[in-house]
Amino acid sequence: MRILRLELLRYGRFTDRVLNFRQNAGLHLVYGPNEAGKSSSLAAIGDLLFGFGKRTDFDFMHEASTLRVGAEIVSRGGGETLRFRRRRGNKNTLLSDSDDETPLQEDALVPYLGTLNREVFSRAFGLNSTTLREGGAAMLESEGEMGSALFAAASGLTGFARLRRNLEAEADAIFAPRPSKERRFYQLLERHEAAVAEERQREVKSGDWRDLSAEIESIERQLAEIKARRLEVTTALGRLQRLKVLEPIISAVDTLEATLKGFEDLPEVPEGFVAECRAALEAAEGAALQERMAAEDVEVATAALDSIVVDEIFLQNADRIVELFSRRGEYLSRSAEIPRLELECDEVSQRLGELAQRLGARDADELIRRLPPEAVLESAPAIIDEGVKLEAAIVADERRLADERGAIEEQLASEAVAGLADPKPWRDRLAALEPDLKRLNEQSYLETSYRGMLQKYKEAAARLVPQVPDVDLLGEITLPTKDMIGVYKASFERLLSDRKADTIQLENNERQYAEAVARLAEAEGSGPIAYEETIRLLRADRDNTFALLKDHLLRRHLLISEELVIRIDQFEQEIAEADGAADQALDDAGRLSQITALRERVAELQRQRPEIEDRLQRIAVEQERTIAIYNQLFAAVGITPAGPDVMMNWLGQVEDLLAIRRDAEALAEEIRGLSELGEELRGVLLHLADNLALPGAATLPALALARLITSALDEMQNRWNARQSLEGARQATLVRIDQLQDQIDAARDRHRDWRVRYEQLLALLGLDRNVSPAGARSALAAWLEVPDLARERGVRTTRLAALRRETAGFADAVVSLAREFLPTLVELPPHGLIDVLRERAETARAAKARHEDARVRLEVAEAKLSAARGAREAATLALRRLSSILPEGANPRIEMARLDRREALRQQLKEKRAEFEARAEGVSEAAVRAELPGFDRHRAPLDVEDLERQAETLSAENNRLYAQLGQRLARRDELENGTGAELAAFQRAGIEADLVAAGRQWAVRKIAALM
Amino acid sequence: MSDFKFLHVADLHLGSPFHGLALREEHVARRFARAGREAFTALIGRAIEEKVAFVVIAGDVFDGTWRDNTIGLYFNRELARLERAGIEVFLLKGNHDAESVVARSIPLPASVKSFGAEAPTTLKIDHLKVALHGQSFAHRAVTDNLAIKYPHQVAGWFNIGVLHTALTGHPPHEPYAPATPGHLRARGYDYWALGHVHDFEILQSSPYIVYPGNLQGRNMRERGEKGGVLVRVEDSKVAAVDRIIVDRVRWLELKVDASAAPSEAALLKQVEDLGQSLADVAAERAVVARVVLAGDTPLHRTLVAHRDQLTEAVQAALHRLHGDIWLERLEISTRMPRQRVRSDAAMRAIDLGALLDAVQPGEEFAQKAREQLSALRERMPGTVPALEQDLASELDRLIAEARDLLLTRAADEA
Repeated sequence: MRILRLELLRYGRFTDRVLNFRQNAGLHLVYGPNEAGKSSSLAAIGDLLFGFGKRTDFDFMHEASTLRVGAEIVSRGGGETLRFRRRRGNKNTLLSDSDDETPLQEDALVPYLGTLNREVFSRAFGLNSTTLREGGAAMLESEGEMGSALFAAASGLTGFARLRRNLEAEADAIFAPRPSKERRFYQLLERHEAAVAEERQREVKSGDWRDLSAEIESIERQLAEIKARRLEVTTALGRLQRLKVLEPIISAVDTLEATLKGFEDLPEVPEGFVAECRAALEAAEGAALQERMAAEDVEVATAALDSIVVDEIFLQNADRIVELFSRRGEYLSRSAEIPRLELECDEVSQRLGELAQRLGARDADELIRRLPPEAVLESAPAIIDEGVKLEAAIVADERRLADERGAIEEQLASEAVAGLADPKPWRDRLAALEPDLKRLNEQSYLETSYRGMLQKYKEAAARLVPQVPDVDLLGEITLPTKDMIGVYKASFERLLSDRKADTIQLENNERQYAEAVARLAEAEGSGPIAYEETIRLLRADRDNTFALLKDHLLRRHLLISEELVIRIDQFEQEIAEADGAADQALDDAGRLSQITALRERVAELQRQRPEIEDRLQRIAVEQERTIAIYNQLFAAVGITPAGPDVMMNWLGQVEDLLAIRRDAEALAEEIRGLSELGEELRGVLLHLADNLALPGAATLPALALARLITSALDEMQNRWNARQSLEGARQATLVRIDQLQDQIDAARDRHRDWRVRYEQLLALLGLDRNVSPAGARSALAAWLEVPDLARERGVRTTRLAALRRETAGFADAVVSLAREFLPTLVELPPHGLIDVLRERAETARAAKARHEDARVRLEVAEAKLSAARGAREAATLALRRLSSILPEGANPRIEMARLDRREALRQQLKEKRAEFEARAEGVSEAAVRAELPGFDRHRAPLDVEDLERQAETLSAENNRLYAQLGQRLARRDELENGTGAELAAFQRAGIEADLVAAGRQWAVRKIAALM
Repeated sequence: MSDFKFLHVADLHLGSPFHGLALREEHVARRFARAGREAFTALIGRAIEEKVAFVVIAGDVFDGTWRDNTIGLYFNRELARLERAGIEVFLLKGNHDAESVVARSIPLPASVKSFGAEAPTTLKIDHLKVALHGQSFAHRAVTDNLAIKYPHQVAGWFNIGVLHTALTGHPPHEPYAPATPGHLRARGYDYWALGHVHDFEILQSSPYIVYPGNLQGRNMRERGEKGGVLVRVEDSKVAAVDRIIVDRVRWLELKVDASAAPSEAALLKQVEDLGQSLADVAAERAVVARVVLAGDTPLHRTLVAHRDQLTEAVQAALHRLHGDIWLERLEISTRMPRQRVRSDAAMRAIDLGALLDAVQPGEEFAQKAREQLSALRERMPGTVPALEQDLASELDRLIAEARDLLLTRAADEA
């Protein structure tokens, strides 16, 4: 795989930085100063290919989630290319290289990367200074173990020894022969022991279960016995308690039955007989009482009826009297109204008289006859008003006309400002100069820049090393190029390195020569050389001595002991001498060859020396020659050049300097152009100022002149504008004067027409033609009052006549009625007379009503009396019929009381039996009576207490046994349904699986650490 | 002669725990510990439901070393259900029952008829005209051929031979009560109800010689469906032999060819895809799975080195398929491909494997490793299955794994 293009879209300090790599290049070198981002780029390739790590150091500029690296890569054969981007995140981090960034498959890079992963990549291709240093440290750490060191170096690994130690430590954490709670294996072993113990503990032995079953059976037996005993006690207790309750009931029954025997003489009567009898008695007595009371009522009613007298005459005429009485109020109110109406009539007549006098009539009636028609009266006010308004309008318009005429005279007086002109033509001319003036304005800025640049040029020239006598000359001379200097640099370096090599060779030659000479002297200075003859003689002496000793040993010729000792010493000495000589001969052979070799070496070194010296000489000559040519290159500039590196830098400085000079010259040119423009403009502006007659213009420069002209033109414009507005106002006043004159003429015409109509109106109102509109208005007001007053006078007169007629009618009717019944009272006023009549009529009517009431009460009392008599007779009959059942001569009241008593006793007996029934719990009375003879009411509580105690004891025992049984059954259930030791065994087996797994883990690590 | 059905089961091994499965969760462990009982309860339920005439148990009700009588009480209670349903039980003791203290101490309902251990016994059901012949194990290791001493068939009756046997040998089962199918055929019976071998097998159908297999798998050797067989007899002939599957926990192996997977993630995906078959099973019952990764793959070393994390990831993948699939073990049987995937010269220079091959350990190293392993062997509890007690038996594999671990770690460290 190759990377064709790396796009650092947002990564570290980069934004949209693109690195292109030529496809067929053998090597790419990415270089840059420190902090340029080389390491960042390397990290970016790692993140691009293998994804961002959880943490990133490259989000200091772009927010972590927006980091992006893109690339175009091509597969190894060059067949396929892929353009993609990588973002930071957990999934979908591979994106298409497009604006929408659609996610790619996570394995999209597999065809390009194969099995390469981040570790291998960083180890094999992604080395940086840190990893290189770590590699070196790892080799030192392996402490001379060549295998490890090579392995570590070859594989690019760091810390192989550390790896083995780690594996050993991991293995040790799992297992070691020495038990420890820290080790996983022993932890499991401990759990295993616990599980085994648990399993044992949970096991149920066969005996346990059998014992439990036997126990359960025994408890069940005991429970059955207790149950029987409890039944007995409960029965006895029940009997006693029953008798205790029933015995008093039975004795009550007996008493009741004995008492009932005393009532045996009484006959059996039908149900409700006593109640019926008692009711009949009470009915008879009640009826008698009612009869007496009814007789009294009849008497009272008869007396009341007789006492009432009715006045029949008034009764018969009551309706007529009452009808007349109903008109009494009306009569009184009308009588009161008549005087008021008379007064009102007088007032109206008087007013009419006044008006007649004012309007020139003899009396009211003449006034009414002369009344103008209604239409005239209605139109009159309008005609009068029209005249008044017309006169007022004429007066107002004439006053305004006078005002306007005054105004125009004032305006004509102020029109003294003469000789004013429009400044527009001059303004247009100045505007045409505006762009040039603007350019001229820039001149001062350009001059500042130019001065700055000159300063910079001088400073740069001063910084040149070596210094140039005449800087300005530089632009005109041909300088050597950097390539040329580069060629000289290479020559200098080659000569220097050759010279250094030969110098070293010469030094070596001298040192080796001195060493060889010294060693030769040493070799030649050592002891004598052993020769073959000497060795042979020494060996012969030794052999002779050995022959003597040999004869002695073989007992061919014995030596005496003293001599033997001497001979042995002699033999040992001769061996040493012979061997020493032989050894020296051997040594001398080595020394000889060494001397020969050393002599040859010395000769060789002597021969080499002049050659080297010659070469050094030649190099020195060439160096000088080259330096001379090199210096010549810079002769035109007038300097002696420094070394090639310095001069390359110097050339760069000179180029910069020339560039500054070129820029400064261009600026100066521009400034000159602007100065010329300034002069031209000044000429034009001066002409303009003359036209405008501006004083002091001649001395000003162009820009100031332009400002002076502008301000003069502004002032001119203001004055021109003021004059224009004054002229407009005068024209408006003249127009208004004409309009007012027309208005006044028209109004006068209308006034003449009106006067004709006005005089006609005065005639109709009966007024003199000279009467003023105010006078006419006053007369008109008087005329307007007349019609209403005439109408009022008519109405009141008619009403008064009607009232007088009606009151007279009522008085006549009352008097005629009084004459019929009460002639003595006819003199009373009609309303008093009708009051008396009505009172008499009402009295007669009331007496008639009371009489009627009394008659009805008498009829009711008589009916009640008759009914009471019937009831009394019926009750007497019934009582007689009922008494026939009772014994002859018996007092019904006494017998009835006895019958009641017998009934009550019977009821009590019935209740007692019911109570017995309710409390006997189904036991028959006969059975209870049979038990009674053995029952002692006073002993019973003691017996009950005793039995209850027994029952309690039995119950407690029963409960205890039940609890025991429950426990046993639960235990049996637990045993039968429980899982017993199965769970524990399962867990034990599980731990064993864990143990084997842990063992395996340990074994693999242990063996790996051994490798 | 009437038609009837009967149930044939064997090798219940009630109470015996599962092996090789370490479960952290208590409630799951509890369920698994109950699996054997639940399977048997389900079986009895089916027997009652199917209205079988009788039940034949061909040995090994209990596990020999199991001493907890609770399981005996449980067995008694379940058989009592059959009694209440009017179903007789014919019980033959196998090698495990012979040594079981539980089998000796628990009384069984009256409806349960046992075969004697001294000599072959014939038990008859008169109204069905069925004769059952059998001999229980007197002790754990019966190596005699019991079958040849069984009586000849009762003529005109339906004859069933009940025998706990390894026949001619079924490793790893002990070769107890050896016999050949020929010996069995010679008795002239209609059905041979066998026990002892834990895999279901119909050896012959004329006459039927049937191993029903055990009731509930308890380790990875006892894989697949487990239960009993329901035999239908019509007109004195076996008409059908149907399996009744009652196991509550199914042991299964999932083989995954890792050679095509480009990454660990892809491999896990493959496990998940293939594991769908397990999920279908898990819908009915819990599944214990051994996942075996095989094939040549450049991932091999990573897999080995990351065995622990990978095991957890595989368990998680299985749980994603179904909450009731439990990983017994992840077996990594992959190999590095012979052909180097990396052909790049740069890659060859950093191939650690090649470097390590140069220092391949020999017999001396193996001996050193064996010494280390013996220390572990001494500490292993005796209850750990014998095959797993000594890791030295798989030393080659351990060494290979150690090498892979070393290489991958080295790469990781870099």
